[in-house]
Amino acid sequence: MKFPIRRKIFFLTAILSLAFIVVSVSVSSIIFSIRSKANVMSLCQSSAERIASEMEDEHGDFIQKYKEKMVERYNKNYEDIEHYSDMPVDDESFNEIKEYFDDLVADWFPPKTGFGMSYEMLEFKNNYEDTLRKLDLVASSEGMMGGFICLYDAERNNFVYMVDSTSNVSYHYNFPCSIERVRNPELVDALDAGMPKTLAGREDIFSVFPIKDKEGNVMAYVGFQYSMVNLESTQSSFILTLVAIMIVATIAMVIVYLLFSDKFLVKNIQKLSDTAIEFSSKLERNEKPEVLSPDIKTKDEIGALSNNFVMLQNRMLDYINDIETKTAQEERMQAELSIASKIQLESLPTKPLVGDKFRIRSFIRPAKEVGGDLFDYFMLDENRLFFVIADVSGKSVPAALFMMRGNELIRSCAKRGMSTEEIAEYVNNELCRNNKEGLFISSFIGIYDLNTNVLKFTRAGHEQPFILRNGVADKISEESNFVLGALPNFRFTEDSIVLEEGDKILLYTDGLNEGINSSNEEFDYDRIKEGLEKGSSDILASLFSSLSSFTEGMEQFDDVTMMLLEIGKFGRIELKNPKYEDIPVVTDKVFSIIEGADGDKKSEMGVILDELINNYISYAFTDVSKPELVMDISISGDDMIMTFTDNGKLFNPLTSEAADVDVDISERKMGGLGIMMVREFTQKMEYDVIDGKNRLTIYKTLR
Amino acid sequence: MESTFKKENGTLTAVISGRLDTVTSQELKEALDKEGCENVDIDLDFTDVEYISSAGLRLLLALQRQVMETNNKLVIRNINKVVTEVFKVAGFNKTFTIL
Repeated sequence: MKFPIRRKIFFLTAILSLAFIVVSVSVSSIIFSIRSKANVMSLCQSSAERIASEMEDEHGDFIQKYKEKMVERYNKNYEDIEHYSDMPVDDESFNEIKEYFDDLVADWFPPKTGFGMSYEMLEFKNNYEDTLRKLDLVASSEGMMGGFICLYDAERNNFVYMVDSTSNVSYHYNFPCSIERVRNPELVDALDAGMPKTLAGREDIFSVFPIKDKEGNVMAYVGFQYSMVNLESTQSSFILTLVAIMIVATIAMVIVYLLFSDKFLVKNIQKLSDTAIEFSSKLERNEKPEVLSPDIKTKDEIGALSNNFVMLQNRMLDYINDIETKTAQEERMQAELSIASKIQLESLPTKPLVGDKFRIRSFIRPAKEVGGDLFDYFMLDENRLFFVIADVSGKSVPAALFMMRGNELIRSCAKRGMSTEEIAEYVNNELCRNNKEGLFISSFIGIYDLNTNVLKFTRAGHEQPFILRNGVADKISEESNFVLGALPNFRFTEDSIVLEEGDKILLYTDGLNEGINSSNEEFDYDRIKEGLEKGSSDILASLFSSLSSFTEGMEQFDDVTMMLLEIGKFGRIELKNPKYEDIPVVTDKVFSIIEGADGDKKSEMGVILDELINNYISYAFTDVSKPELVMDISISGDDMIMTFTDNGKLFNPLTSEAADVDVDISERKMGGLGIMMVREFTQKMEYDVIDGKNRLTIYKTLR
Repeated sequence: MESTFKKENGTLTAVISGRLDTVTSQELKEALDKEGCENVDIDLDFTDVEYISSAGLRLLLALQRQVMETNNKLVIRNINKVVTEVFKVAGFNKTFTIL
């Protein structure tokens, strides 16, 4: 049902009304039955008293005369009278009884027509009819069975009827001069004393009142009879009427109540509910929110609720506006921060720097917030490589700005030809000036001489780098100087180390070693050492992936910056929009890098390069607008690792189907043959995706 | 890649040197077409060929099909270690006449 509250109100009202009807009808019928019996008794009594008094006033003589005649007949014919009076009345006996009593009084009872009557008789007739009419008038108007006038024979305890208003065709009719025995002792006592009496019997209510002559003697009695059957039927018709009225009244009341509750309660609640639904769906649809009034005009609790609801909407819209404003502000701040972060990153070198005898490259994964990590590397002259890695205390924009200032200072000092300790000293003093924020920079500054293989460095409060030599990783630079920007005029000292071919120096910021896992453990130096010693063609990517799986599920809190300096034979060839004509050029360059390799190995390398580059141009770059292929070569001893990184569509050549070389020559397709050649001439091949680019790594021995 | 040609007695003899890769195979094909390599036996001297890639193999396959159609012969001579290896990988040692 759509409106259960309506149903509830309806059922509750109906049940209460029914209970009300039942209770009130039963109570009122009880009260009525008690009241009405008493009423009827007093009615009978007062009617008898009134008629008795009227009889005394107007018909005293008539009654006196009538009584004398009656007494005479009664005494004379008592046995017959008794016989006929006691005879059970039915259709047969009625006429016989009537005939007897009519005959008994015929000589002095006037005929129906007044023709030829004596004056005396006429007077008797008039009086009789008058009396009868009065009795009848009272009886019929009050709903009684009838009224009568009778004598009382105290000796025999008999009523002797004189006038009876009950219709004389009814069996209840008492013929003049007929008798009825008085058996009720209370009535007998009253009649003996000449007192009025009212009695309620099982069948009727009965009241008699004495008619007295002028001397006060009782002449006769006036009696009225009220049938109990009549009373009961009146009572039941009263109750029926009452019930009917109550049902009608209750139904009307219920309807009025329901209409009222519907109008003021259910409909208003429905309105409230509809408004709430509309409001919330508007919010959901992101329509322009506005306050909706439920259109409830009553001033009751529902009206108050409606007003409160409007108030609530106002508050909610205010709140939403607030949030939107704040979100917009936050978004703007976030955008500014990301621009700051981008500017910061753009000032750092993005590409590896590769010389004949070294390669230096970096890896940075900034945290969400702008951080203060920096690194830089460039050649000071033909033979000297300068590099620095640093971390500014603090985060966000101030740290980034401080970092940029530090970076510019370090770079310009390095370009002026200063040694690492001089750079540190100068930059320290510069940063100490006006450093109200109290920021400082930890850094590692190094200059590597390619001729002497000596690396000179100054460590200023920075993490100790690792050196990987002959498969073992160790920290270098035991003693540190103080951080930059904290103590003016600090005396920095330079240290040095001789590097050998195959050495790898890992520099990093604390984002690496202080990476936290879900158990609050740090990544720490042991895992770095382990990662280095494990060996990989791409140490930086491999270390970061170890860190990522270690800190799984945690937000990256700090920038992760790493820099790797590798000593050995390196080469890097970048091809933009490669064409087939580039193949011989690349081949010549590679041959010069791997100079000293066996002739056959060089030829094999030639096959490899032709197959791969041909493949890139023919397939990988067909739908790429700015194709780029970068080849990195690193040689350590007799072993060469060469990576091919391309921005073509992602494709793993190692899973491509091998060509079927056993098929007859005329049906043979060449696809897949190239990669088979490459496989044939390499020791190992690997494929992965790095920064959304394909990377193929081949391992080849050169002797 | 360098190539010299000699045509006598219905045989085209080509002496090839250097690399046979994507670029040079195309050059060799053009040179052979220019010399007229149809309805002749072809004798390729690979003594000075450094290496051959699959692009070169494609050219050799095309030549082989061509001579087979006219019942001529294709002979490849004096292949070095790397070329031998390439031929082996491609299954060429089974279908070509290599002397």
